[in-house]
Amino acid sequence: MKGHTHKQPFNDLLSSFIIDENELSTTEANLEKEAEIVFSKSATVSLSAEMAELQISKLTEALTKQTLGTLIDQALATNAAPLPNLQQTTGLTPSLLESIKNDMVFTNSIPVKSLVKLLKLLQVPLERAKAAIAVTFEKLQTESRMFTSMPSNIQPAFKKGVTPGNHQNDFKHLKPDESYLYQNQEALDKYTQRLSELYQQP
Amino acid sequence: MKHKEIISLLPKDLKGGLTLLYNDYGNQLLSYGIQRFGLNEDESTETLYKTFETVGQVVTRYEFKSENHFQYWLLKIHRNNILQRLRHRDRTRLPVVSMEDWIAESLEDEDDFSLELFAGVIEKISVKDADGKPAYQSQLMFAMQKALLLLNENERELLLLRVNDYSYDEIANMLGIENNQLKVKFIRAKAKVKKKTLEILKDCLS
Repeated sequence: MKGHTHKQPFNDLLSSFIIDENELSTTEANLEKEAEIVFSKSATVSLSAEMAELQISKLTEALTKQTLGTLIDQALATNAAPLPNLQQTTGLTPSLLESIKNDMVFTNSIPVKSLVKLLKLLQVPLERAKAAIAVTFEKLQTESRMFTSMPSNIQPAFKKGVTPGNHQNDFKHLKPDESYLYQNQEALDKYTQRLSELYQQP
Repeated sequence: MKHKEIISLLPKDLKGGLTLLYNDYGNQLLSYGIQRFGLNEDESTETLYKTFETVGQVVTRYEFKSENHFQYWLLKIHRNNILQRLRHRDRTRLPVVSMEDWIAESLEDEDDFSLELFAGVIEKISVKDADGKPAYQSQLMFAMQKALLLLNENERELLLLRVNDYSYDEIANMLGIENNQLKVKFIRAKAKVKKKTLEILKDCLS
């Protein structure tokens, strides 16, 4: 698919087909072999030390942004006052709270009133919560795209202790194919708007 | 295993983990984008950033069966990012090419059929719409998809991998076959698909 010195119309069409249809290889076993080849060969191009450093610094900054999970987790850990029974106060079940802490759940699928109660209880400022919600959303969208674009045999397993399905019992009313209802920016914007309104109410 | 060290280091020392990630896999992924997909160095560098951003966001939640499994996963993410970039960049790229270009390629490929039969089709598919996009893009892709069905699995893999500039030895290794006249097989497969694509388009656009 390299640029050719002269026009090769049919080759270009084939390249476009590969790009449009994501059709490099029909069997995943061949892709595995491809990975072996790519990583066993010496690189033909190297990133300059300055560029690598720049990218690593930018990535470090981007990846240290607080997610809703880390924000809640830290707030729970640092909260000096003893917390009342969270489930009774907020209506969040322990498994759902665990999923929130691990960023395993799209924020806008959490009952909004419960989340507001939790944020207020932990004295998390609204603006920090909103920023963290955006980071969590991006993270989960990335993950969702990754899973939908990958054959099952490449998908890694969740680590022990990271259990994305734990909260599912709390959402029995949602069918799996209804995920599109909340996994989009518009739904998130509406959710955060409602969250702000409720948070600002006395 | 390299990936295990990276995954265990990332939560404790993000910058250290990312540095290892770049050192261990960065240059090979960078080369992959340039060598296999014709990205320029800047594009490949930006795509690498996106890939490692995805990795950094999610990798600590997972475990992999082996180093090969991790590499396979990493390459798949990177390739998806490359294709996404190319789709965006090349949305209007299908070039307007002349009959002479087709004939030159056909001579180079030593096709055993005459392109004169398809002169009308070639003229039509070079047309762009008001937005500068190829006017018959969907028909082209449809015809190619159908034409590729003429090939058996190995022929199809051979054709697509060769377009991605893999050597015949590498393709043989990937497909688990001997490099026995793969060049001849490639030329035949390409001619077969080219002819069928043009035939389908001729029916479709007439």
